[in-house]
Amino acid sequence: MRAAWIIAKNVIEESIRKKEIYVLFILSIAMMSIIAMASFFSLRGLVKYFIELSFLIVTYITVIVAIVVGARQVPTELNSRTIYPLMAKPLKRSEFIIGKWLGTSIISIFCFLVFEAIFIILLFSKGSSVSGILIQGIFLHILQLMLISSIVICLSAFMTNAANVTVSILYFILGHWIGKAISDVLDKCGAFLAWVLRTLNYILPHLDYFDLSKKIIHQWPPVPAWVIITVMIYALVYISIFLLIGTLKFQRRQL
Amino acid sequence: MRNSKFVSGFVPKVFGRISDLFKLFALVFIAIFLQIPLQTYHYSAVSNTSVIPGGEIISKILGGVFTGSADLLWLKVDEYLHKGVTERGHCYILEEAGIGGHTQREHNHKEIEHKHKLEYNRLDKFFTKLEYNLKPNITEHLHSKREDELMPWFKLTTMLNPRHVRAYAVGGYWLAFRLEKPYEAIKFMKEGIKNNPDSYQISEEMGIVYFSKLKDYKKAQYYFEKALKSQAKMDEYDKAGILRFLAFSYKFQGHTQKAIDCYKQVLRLFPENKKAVQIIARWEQEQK
Amino acid sequence: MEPVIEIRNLHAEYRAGREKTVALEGISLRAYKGEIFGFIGPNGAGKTTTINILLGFMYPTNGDAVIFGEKSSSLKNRFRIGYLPEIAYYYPFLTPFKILTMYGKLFRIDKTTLNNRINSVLTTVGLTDKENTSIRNLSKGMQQRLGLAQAIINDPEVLILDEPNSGLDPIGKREMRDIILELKNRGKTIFFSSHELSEVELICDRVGIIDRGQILKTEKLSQIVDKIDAKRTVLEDIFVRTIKDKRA
Repeated sequence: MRAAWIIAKNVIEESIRKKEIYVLFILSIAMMSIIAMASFFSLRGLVKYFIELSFLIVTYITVIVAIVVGARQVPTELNSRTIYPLMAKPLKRSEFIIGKWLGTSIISIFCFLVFEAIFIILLFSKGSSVSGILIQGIFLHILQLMLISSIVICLSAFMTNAANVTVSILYFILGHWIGKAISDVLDKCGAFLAWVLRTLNYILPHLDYFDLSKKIIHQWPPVPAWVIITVMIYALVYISIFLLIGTLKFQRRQL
Repeated sequence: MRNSKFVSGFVPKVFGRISDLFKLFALVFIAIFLQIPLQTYHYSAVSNTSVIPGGEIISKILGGVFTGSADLLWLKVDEYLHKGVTERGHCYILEEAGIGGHTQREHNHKEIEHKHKLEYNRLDKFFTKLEYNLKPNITEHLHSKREDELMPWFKLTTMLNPRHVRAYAVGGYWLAFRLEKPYEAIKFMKEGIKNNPDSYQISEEMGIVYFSKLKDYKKAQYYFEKALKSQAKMDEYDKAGILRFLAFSYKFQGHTQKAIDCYKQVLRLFPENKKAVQIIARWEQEQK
Repeated sequence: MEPVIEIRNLHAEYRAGREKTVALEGISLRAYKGEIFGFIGPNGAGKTTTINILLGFMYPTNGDAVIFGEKSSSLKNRFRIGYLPEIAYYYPFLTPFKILTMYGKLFRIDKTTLNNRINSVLTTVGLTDKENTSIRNLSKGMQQRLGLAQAIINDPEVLILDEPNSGLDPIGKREMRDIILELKNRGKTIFFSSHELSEVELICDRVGIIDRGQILKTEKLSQIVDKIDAKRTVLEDIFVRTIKDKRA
């Protein structure tokens, strides 16, 4: 695991030196500030729309960071040949994959926490406060970022950078609708297709489990602890599965 | 090195470079924000011919996106009103799964029945229970002051689609009657009339605000008459409603005969309307 | 004497869709402790493929390659091996010091020892004044020296060098030669591939000639190169003759 951490640190250092993250920082801060300053019909104390739009911005931007950073890890190492001196060292291929995942997760989580800090400051300026459900939502989104990073790193063992970014972004969008889409179609199709859809429903990770935004926006009380623990276990299981698939694929790969 | 040629073959090369992605993102971002002032200018009542060619082109390219986005924002109003619950029919599924449903005490809407063929095995039940806890699950309307949280979505809807008549009309109602801001409502609906001169709904709502909130029956009369003159297709119920309000606007200004004539038009639309008969009779009696 | 590197009947293929290219056809060779083994052949002969299999980058279709008696892909071996790739790039955003630190940590070298060793190897390869310069700002020759530095950072028992003189000027080549001979004097085993036959001739103890995936000759250099009266047959002549005979 020490070796994986060394790889992770390298990912973090590379990401910090690239300009994309700073562009996203500036964009998101600008957008959140504009939203916070907007006035509607001279009404004061409007906070829900701000929470909704800011959460949307923060969610999408941090997911984009995770996807963009993660997707380029393996292909770039292969194309630029930096992988050869690296893999000649006492570094298992599994440690390489885990290290890339860890680095991608950390950088996207770091971005998320910075954006959240700015969001919370703006929230205080609007007279609102941090609620228990918001803390839970932050935790679940961190899990989601880790899961998405694992999906992207797994796919990077199979695909090029561009293909990976496209597929990952599509899955991020569709992954929030799997359960609903499948259940809507289920009663309109035959037995075999229904079986296929139900299997897909169980196999594919449901990203909507990590989305507490509606409850946060509408100021619902915190969800029960068993729900958070279940989602956490769900995330960890899928992260392990994706990293295992990625590792197995990468291990068989001729460099 | 083996690449996934099947998948990468479908990806346009422009996305191969991260910098191109950011340029594209920045361009769309600018186009979206340019659209708002350009559209406003385009629909300016002051100068209908002063259309900026650029605005027209951007509108044509991205018009569908704005209309669709405006509709999504419009759905937000309903979502916010129901404290985040978007699928109220879903409550029936929960009852079938033995988890629970929603209380009827707040909700007077007719529910849509949602039939499911899912067999609720233990795993399904578990995940359904999980989803139940992760999403807003009990319908509860926003009340009094908290209803102001709906307003940004009315405004944002009309910003993206100035042709969204319902947003103006319902937003105007909400401002005037629920949030007690009639002047803001009038300002908002005037913008709506400017962008949708043929709309009778907005004019009707304007009239109602002047009538009920501001007791300015002359202005109310003006807007009800404007609504009736609209070329837009109007069903009989809407027309009858406007005529009733117009009648009372006339009545409160002392123009009893005009009021009676309006109610007679209502009677022509709905001959069985006993209330109209009674009101006409009473007013004719007062005239004598 | 037990060989340090042993390749036994190694077969390797490349597949691109349905197309199959045979890269190695049952090659066998040995390299012994303390010797410099020169692995030479024309372009596309299979030199880099052999090295890739030795380092576990590629998997053979048949046969095996062992180092220190363990399978070549074994993690244990990597602690005792140093590798200089033919064409390699190092992370452009790092400096020589940082990259050597990163590689050194992978060898689990403790911090103090690592710092001392980094200073030592940078001095050996002549990059002391560039230790904090971004790699993207280093010339090709400097990057090649950095490559050697990262190959010896763990004081390996076996060095695998793929075209070590690539990108070096004559002075650099001379310095590289001196470093290799110095390492040999310290008992290291060096296995390297090169096109520069004059360099191979100057430093190698044994030579293996490969062409089209087959080993043509594996002999002591002294046995290949003859001195006949005043006319000295050079390695280049032997090499060209061997290849032409095989292809005829």
